[in-house]
Amino acid sequence: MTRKMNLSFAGAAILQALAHNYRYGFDIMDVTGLPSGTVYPALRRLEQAGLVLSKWEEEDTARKDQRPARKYYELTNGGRETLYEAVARYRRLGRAITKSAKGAKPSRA
Amino acid sequence: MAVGIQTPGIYLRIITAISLLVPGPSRLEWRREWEAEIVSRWLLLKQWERLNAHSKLDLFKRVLGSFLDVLCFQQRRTNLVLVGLNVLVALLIGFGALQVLIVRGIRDRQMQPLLLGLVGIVVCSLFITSGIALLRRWPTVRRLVIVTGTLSILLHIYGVLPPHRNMGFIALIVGAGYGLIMLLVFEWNEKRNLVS
Repeated sequence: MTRKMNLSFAGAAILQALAHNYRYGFDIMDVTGLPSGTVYPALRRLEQAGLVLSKWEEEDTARKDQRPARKYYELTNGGRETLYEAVARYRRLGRAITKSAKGAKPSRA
Repeated sequence: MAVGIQTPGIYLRIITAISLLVPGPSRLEWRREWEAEIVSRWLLLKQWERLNAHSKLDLFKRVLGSFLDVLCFQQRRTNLVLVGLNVLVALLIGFGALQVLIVRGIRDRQMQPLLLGLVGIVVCSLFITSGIALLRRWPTVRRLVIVTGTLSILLHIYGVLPPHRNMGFIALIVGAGYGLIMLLVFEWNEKRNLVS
């Protein structure tokens, strides 16, 4: 069940990475630039809130690549909706900042 | 430190050590996830011939970040505060107890300080043990916290009583005061857990 949660910037970045098919913890770190101490706790919270789902990959797939089976994460429908909302919010924020920056007078040294 | 490493063994050993802080039911899966990520990354770097000092250091930093991951298994922040305070108080009591034991108990051969020092060390160990129990959610945590708190209160009250007055009032406030606070906060936390 999806629980409404306030999505932080890190949370939004992680959901965005998952939406772009970066499914493993270390890959999410690579693409977002966030440290492991941020990514993993955020993934656990997102999973608890029902925005993300974790699964273990098939042993056969891992064996084919000659590595241990990894845990991967994927977005739930609730997670996708929350991501859209967050992206819209950040776009609005970006527009507001650009607008106020254009309106501001340049400071004179 | 990470520069001369030739196998991912050291990283896996760090993960094994940190995994001891993860509550029992989740520990195996937590460890498996971290080990799989580390080994996969190591193999990938090796395959790409990019296993250099920089990449090893990066991997080392990621492994250290697993400690923060462990902390998110603690549902209540008050539990974490209790664990931190337990360690701090244990160090203070341990320091005082050792001083009394060695200087007055062993060197000056006084019976009261010798006994108080020994009990102090037991209380110090109990504070550390109950801290670990809180962190790892042992089933015996309640019993441990009650025994630790009560023993600490009794020891410090006895220590300040005349005629010997082996302890000062600061020790009473730290030892007995924190013992009482720990008991109350733990019980309050347990009740809150039942409600939510």
